[in-house]
Amino acid sequence: MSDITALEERLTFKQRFARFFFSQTMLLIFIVLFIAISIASDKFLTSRNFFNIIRQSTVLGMMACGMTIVIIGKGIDLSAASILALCAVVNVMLQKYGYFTSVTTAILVGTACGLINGYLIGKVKANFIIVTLGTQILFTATALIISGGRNLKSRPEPLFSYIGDESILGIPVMGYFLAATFILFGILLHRTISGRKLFATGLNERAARVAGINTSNIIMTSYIINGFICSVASVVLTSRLPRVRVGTASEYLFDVITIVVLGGTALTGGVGGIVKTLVGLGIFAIITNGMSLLGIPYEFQQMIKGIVLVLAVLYDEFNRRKRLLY
Amino acid sequence: MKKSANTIKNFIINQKLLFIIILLIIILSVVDRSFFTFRSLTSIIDHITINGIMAAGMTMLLISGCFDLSVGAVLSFTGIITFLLQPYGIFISVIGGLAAGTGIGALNGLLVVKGKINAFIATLGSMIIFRGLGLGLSDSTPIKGRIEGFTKLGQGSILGIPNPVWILIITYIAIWYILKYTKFGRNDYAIGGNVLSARLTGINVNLNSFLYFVVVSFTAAIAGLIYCSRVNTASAVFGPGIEMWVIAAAVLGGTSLFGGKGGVIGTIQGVIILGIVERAMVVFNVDTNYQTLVRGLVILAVVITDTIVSRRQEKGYMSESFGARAKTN
Amino acid sequence: MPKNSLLLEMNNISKSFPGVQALDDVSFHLNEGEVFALVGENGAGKSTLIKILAGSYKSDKGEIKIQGSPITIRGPKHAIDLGVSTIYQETSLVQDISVAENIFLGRQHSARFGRIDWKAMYDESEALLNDLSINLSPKTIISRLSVAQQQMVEIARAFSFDAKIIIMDEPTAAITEEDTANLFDIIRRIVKKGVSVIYISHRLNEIFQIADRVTILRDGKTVTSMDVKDTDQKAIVKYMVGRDIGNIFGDESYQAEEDIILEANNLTRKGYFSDISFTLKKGEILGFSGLVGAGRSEVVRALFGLDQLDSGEIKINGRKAMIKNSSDAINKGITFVSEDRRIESVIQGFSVRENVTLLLLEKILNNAHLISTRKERELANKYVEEFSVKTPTLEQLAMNLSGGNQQKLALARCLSTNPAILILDEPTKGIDVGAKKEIHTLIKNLAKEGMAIIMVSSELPEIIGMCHRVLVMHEGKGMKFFSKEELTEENLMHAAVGNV
Repeated sequence: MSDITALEERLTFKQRFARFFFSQTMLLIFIVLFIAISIASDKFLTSRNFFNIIRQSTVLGMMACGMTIVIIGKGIDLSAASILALCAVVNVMLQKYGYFTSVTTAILVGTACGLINGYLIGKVKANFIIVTLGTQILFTATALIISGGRNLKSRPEPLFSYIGDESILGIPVMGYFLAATFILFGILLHRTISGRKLFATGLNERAARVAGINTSNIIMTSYIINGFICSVASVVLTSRLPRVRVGTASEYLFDVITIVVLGGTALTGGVGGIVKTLVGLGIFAIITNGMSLLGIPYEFQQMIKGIVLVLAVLYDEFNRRKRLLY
Repeated sequence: MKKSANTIKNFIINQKLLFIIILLIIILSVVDRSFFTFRSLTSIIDHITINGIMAAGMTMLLISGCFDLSVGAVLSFTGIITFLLQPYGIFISVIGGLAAGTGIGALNGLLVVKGKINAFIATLGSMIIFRGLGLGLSDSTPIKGRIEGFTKLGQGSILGIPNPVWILIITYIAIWYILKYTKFGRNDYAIGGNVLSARLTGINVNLNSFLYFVVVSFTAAIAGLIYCSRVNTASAVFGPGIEMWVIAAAVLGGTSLFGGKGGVIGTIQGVIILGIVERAMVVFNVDTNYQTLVRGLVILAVVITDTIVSRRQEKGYMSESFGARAKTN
Repeated sequence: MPKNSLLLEMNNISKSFPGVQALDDVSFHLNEGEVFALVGENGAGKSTLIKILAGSYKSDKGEIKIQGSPITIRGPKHAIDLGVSTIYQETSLVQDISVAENIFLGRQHSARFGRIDWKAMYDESEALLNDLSINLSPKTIISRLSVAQQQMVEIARAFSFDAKIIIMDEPTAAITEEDTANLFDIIRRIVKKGVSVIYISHRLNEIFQIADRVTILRDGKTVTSMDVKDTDQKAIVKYMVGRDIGNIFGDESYQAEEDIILEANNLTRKGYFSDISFTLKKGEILGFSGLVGAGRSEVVRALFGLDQLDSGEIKINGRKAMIKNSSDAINKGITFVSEDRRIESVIQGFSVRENVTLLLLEKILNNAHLISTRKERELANKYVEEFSVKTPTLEQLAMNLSGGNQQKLALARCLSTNPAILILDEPTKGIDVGAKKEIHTLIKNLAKEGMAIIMVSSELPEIIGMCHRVLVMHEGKGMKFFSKEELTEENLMHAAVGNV
């Protein structure tokens, strides 16, 4: 047995845990914030509030998982929120044909949107910022055209609203969706061959190619997956909010990016993970919740979220220079 | 005989934008006989002045190799600050508004040059913050204008030409002059073309780059003043998505996203073309949502073309050096 | 030519980088109005020396004197101010503006009120270009010019800085013969005006056309300096390579097997190499020798699927093989360690464990087709031990390893797939002596066990000590094959500069 594993096994589980724990700055920030808000508002530490938080974070959390994957591949999907909007619109408009049809179509549409992004960025190799900005406009416009710009009302279908309103074992159904997404994406990213290849691609595309990885495919797939999860998130969204309006989509985008960056996934690619995004989601969720509980007006909440994003990005830049990766 | 035919062909290729404009005007006039009416021309001119003034500043920044996504936010924010300062009289409110808008540019410049943050992220962040701030300061409601004489800016005219058009002309002459006849302007091309060489020749890259961001925001601030004075209202949601349109106009006019080339003469043509396209969509009764679709497609097309052309130019240079080698022995 | 006054002296210059002594007590001098050639094989130290003169590097020891006075060159800009201009192979021109503006970049002519005086700029540029008999209009946009023409603009620009010394690094690497003749005319003209030129080139016949004096560097040391008229190409080659190799590589010789595993016929990639043919036997180490730019790396990269061939065929074990990308190559049993190993063969941000297992991801799956941490760790351990990669833990990031260990890591990864053919591009470049020996032993053992190896190397002793056969390339063509008995440094260098 070589020296190396011997060394690692000498560290007890406790020591390894401690080492991990304290190196996670964001986790510590989460705990600090948690305590601070609990003190500031007595409504915070109630189960009702927590379930609210879960309900509010599910859609964003699911989108954040998809976004994490795209960002790790050294890209970004600025059209994610418009995919969400488009799929929501498709879903609602096709509801008269049955829940099954409408949901399936919505998911197909979302995946197709991801395919468009993935093809242009992965295969044609156009600039991912410009492409997803352009497709964002495209998808939003399509959503507006299909919906005729009207606000749509979703039908109260029992199976459908089950997701939005009901709870299993006391925890909202949405929570299970959220957990399932995180677990699934966690496995996908950290335990599959493709996930490992994605990290390699994000860190150093040239080296990944030399190692026989088909980087075009990997990048394309990451966008397709993001499109897919955004469409599933849209199903969850419409079950929660009966009214669907295309306009609010852009806020979601900035929130999602904030969450991913807060968690510690680097915008330069190759570094990050689902657990990190979970922490980012936690921080974001309790900040938003805290601000509501404290009665801070909406506009200033937006501004604070903007500042949080900028700070998170600055922190990411600072880390990047520390990492000095190729 | 051949020579003059060639020169005509070259002339058309070099002035392709001009020809597109003429072509579009002809087609449009045929389809819509009311094209040359006062109402129609006014709407085109309104569109062109606002976008044009912003595009002139954006051109300067693009040449240096960066772009600015916060110009829309600057436009609306300037208006809000101006109107919030109304009680203090026209002078203070206008200066205050301009300062606020230009200040955003200074902030962007600092973030990019000193903070070494990617221009995209920095200006995106600015956009979010200042849209949000604008919303907050205005309580999410449009502010009514109550300044004496302010509306003259957007609605008045001198010698029959609307004031905004005068400002447009002055802006373009100014920036054209800067880009052609000042070191500040010429260094722009150097920085965008080969920043290492620029540094080696003693050009203060940091200071220049910073100033380009200030210029963009300044022009956006002016555009903001004009916009708000036209409708005598200020709102935090004015100009949504205008930044992409402005960038597209400049790129269409020949200023590459990759920096190093371009100019305001091309940009104004790009602005005019896009202005005519906007008008055409109205004339053809295109649904608002399809209009957005068209805008998206135009942006994608313009930018993808720019990418392909620039990549091809790059490749051309590279392959020539190796190709030349193959010719020896 | 009358004896000109002393312009530049570089005395006892030494410079080292981590792991390698690039320059060791190098001295030379330069007179006014002469063309001075700097010659040496790859890695001899020429680039380092001129970079010190150009202000990009600082020497560890030694002095520089310009016109008798000792000078410390503070940086590239300072060098230009002192009268030293450098023309590198990478262009320093701004592509989308005019010739005149490039010449006067940052120093534009101003008229009243600070406005740029275009007329004055064009006029002065025109005068300058005419003075040097360069047939270009000052208003032309750079991107419209050929490489050779752009080079002339760079010379004109250097001249406009009142440069006393113009350094040209491989100026003819990318231009035609005709353009070379033009270039030489211009050089002669500027020399007549009192400018001195330091000329670096591998093309010895050019040296004899244009240079007055020559200094030969070898392994970071000055070998000798002399007047060009007092010598010939053969002598220069001898100076470039003459060294005592000794028995660094051990005495073992063993036969390669007889089976041909790889056959390459008429491989061509326009602009990079043409008509390259060779065979490779099992257990054989085939060397690719030649000067920088000969096209060796390009050939092996095309073999590995990283670049596309324009024509030619590859046969593996007698059967035609289509290799369109690296994945194909790996599947066919070919593996590749890049010259740029820090960027291409090792992922710096990955841990040792992740790097080693990158090609073996299929083998570390558990029943659920997910990566098994236990299997991965076992596998990583195995290879780390086998290749003696020195690292404190498996989780250590690759970027924290030394150069030699990173190379071993790259090798470990590439060999983990048990390839039949191993391609190495400059396997020991920049690696310390100890690690070099380890890697050489490793390579020899692999060959003994039957692996077929192609090794691109610029280090002649390495080629001679390691290879069974060597193909020397020159300017994209395969010049000559050498068998083990014919392997001498002189033979290789002669072929490398184009003499057969």
